[in-house]
Amino acid sequence: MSILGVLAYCVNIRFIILTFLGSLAGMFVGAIPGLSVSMATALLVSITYTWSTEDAMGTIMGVYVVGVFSGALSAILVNIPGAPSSVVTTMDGHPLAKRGKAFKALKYATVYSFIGSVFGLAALAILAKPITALALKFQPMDYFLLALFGLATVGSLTSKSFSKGLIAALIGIFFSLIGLDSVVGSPRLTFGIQGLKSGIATVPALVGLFGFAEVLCTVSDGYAEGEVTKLEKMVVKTGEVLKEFWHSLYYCVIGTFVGALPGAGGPVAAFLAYSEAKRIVKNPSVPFGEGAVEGIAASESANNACIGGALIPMLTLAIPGDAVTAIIMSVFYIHGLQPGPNFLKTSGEAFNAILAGGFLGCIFLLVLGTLLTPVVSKVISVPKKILLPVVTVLCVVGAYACNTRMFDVGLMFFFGILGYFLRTRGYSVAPITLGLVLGGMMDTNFRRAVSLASTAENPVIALFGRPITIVLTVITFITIISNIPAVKSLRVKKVRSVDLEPVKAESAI
Amino acid sequence: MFKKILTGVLMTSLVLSTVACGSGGGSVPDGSSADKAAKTDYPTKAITMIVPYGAGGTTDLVGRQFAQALSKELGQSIVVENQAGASGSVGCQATLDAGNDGYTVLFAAESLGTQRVMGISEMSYADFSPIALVANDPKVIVVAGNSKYNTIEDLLSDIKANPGTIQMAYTGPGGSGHVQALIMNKYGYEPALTAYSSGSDGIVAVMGGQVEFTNSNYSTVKSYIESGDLKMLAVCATERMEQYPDVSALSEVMEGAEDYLSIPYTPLSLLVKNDVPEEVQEVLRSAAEKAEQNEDFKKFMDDNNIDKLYETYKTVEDMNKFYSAWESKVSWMLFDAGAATNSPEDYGIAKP
Amino acid sequence: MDGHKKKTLSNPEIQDGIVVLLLGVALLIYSLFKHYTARVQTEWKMSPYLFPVLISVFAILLAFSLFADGRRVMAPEEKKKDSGSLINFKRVVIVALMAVVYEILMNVTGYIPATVVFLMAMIRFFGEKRWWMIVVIAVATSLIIYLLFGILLNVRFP
Repeated sequence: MSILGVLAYCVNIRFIILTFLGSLAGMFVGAIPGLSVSMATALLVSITYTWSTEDAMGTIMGVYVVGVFSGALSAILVNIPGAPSSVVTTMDGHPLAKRGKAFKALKYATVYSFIGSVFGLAALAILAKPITALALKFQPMDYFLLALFGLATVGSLTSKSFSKGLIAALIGIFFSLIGLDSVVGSPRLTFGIQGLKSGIATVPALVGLFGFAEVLCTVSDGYAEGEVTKLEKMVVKTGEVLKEFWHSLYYCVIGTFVGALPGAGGPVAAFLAYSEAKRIVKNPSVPFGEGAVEGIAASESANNACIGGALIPMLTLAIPGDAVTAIIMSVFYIHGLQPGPNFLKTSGEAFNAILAGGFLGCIFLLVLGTLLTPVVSKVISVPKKILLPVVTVLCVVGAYACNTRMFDVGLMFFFGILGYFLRTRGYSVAPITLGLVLGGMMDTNFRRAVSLASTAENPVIALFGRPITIVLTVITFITIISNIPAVKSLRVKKVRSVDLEPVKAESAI
Repeated sequence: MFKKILTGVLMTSLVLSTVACGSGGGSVPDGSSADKAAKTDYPTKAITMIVPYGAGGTTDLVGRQFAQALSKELGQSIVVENQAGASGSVGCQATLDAGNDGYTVLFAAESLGTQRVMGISEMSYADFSPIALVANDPKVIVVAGNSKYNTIEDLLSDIKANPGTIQMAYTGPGGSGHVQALIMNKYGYEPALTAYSSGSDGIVAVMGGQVEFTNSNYSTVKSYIESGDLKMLAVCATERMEQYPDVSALSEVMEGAEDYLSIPYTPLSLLVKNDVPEEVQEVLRSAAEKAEQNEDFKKFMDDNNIDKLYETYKTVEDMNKFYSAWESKVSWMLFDAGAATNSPEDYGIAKP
Repeated sequence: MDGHKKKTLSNPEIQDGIVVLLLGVALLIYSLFKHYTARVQTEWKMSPYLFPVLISVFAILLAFSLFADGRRVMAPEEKKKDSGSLINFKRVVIVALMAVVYEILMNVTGYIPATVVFLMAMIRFFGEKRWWMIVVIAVATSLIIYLLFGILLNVRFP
């Protein structure tokens, strides 16, 4: 990487225009529930394969950076996250929008997505080598514990009761078990249904749990006919928004590093950052879960920092950090580039193009975000009687489009109805999504860890004996134990004054 | 009480919704009748090529390169779709579910030959008609750059001395890595196997010191060998590689294994479902023949040291013969080793 | 109506706990059964059912944790749901059924007609009275989505 090389792209008009087009496309696919960034990049692969590598990289990075951000738009406005990594943003974003402050929520999302993206890309530019070395030290047991830690955190964050949060996560893991087992290839919990063999796809589940369930919940809450959420006219000062800047750097570090661990990715990063925010921000503007801008800042800076993070193992180890980077990797191969240990040395030009595309994407993110949020935030003032049917159709089409299978539409309805029941009983659907996303990774890594340890002389030491594992085990245990009701009430007695728990069950998504 | 009934109705619809699409989600014959009239002017629109594995793997790579060359010959663009999952059976099933018009083609790896005995699906090569048998990516045995093993003899003697403890990463039962581990077993070497979801995950496991060695497709490890992060100890074949005359072929150290090591382990082929009209298949076949001579494509194959199987297996009969021989050899090996769910006999697969 | 037992069973935590417990036990039995009856015997360390067993154990533990929660908050909170909830619940069922019918219809008539009909029915159901408005929104939305997904994103609709 050379700074001059990167700058050369940033003044190349053709490159700028292509990145801008990519950014526009990213804005669009990210914001529409059911359309995902990975789908858009997959499509771009087939469009761009006759282009030069640099042009293709610029466009794809534009889609990637802006697409990850714009998942927050639908998360905030209609409580349907565009992708799993925006799930956390719904927790504070949507309550804020409900009170008419959609514009404020979107402004925070824009600014902190920008900060996160820039931070992640900067880390990619400077620290790719050391981060790779660190990521290589993570072994199967560590991945398993990291996922467990993530789920325990989510369980404690999203529900009034810890057991309910964990049960929701468990339901998610349960659904992730369905399908052909990733190691042996034998069908598990499919009960002979052909459509279940390929497993439960994330997008239909996500769209169902959030989108369709939201429609059902709104119906059941007995909204007044023609009811409209009023959009509050407000000016949000940038200076005020930037108050969270120093905290956000910490979230960015979490985001970048978790992004660099293959398989964990955006949702875990966002959840960890959010729980850290809860810990370090002592006096949020309103309690977390009811529309705290600090929560939006945490989740958005972390999930966007993941972009740079996820690109690191893809470039240096040819291991994609998430679905999008997997597709970007195939673009590389098509253009004759080989990600791997020599990539940074031998394909400096492409690396420059990625960085330039990424940074330009960040700028377009800021521009598009600032220009478009006042317009898109009007969505919230569309009457429910029109919004709900349209959202339902979008849910159906989105679920169908990701794999073009009608079966997925059925799954979407199933998850919608399930989500509705769970929400009425005070369970949050966010841990389900996370469980579904992480379940497969937990399963394979757990078995791998057991299989690797089984040949060692002392299996227990082989499983838990390394420093990273010990740290992860300890913090996971602390999270679980400190949330057990008996222990918790002991602690609450001590610190009566601070009560961060969300009051209403409904406010938990 | 009424509420209970309503709950019941809602639950039923919940179940119904899944069942309804289960039956409806099957094959939707689109435009097959329209195409009968237009047999000669195929192709008139973009063709979808389904790759039943994820992006970035060897099947995907070769498939996309081949698609590029093929689309030049056909004059229509080819959209590559990755439909990964269930050992490739998801993508294969999707191809069978698509229309009979030849606008959906499949670029499959070897798993079609083992899916039935492994109990993954009821599909096999017999459900498809071959257009071209394209490539085979050679398998090599690699260890970490700082490993204590420097030659294949070091590694093999250590495995022999400590049966069941030297860890090897492989990509799961029925895969090409597993087949090779079974060959090693046959000749008295018993490594401990740990499954990884993809070849590149296995490579990271080797570099991170989780396992001692793995066998991987050469194109995936090429750059690691060049950078010194991995050491290549042997080629799983009967001949050494041109670029690495010092690296032994596995058959040199495992005597008697020539017969097994001469099989191409990851034969990649372009297939269509059997119902596609013969005329359309012919159009595709002649285009594929020309595409194989495409300079860019040949260069890609040479750069990655991929075997050009199309030079050996040219006619449909040759290809079908190859598939049945391959299927019988590998299926029986899996079954004899106790790794297969179903007996090859059940499917009329003859013993090799 | 009489006694403690009835009250216990009407406690939502206890009800949920029972469901989770049953699910956990079912998963445990399923996993053990499948593992030991598999045609190809694998060791536990490689078995596809190792992780499900772990999950089922967690589920059973959590079920008991729910029971504990249920006992702690035995003092029942007053029901938020009023008499209107039954009507609303009926509406939820209608919406869910409409969606399922929509899905089946889509398989029969194809995307556009099904979507137009569904949107019209649903907007009408939600209380829009003006028919021209309903038709315009339904047709426009269906077409816009069709154009975006079908043409721009190359999705093959049924």
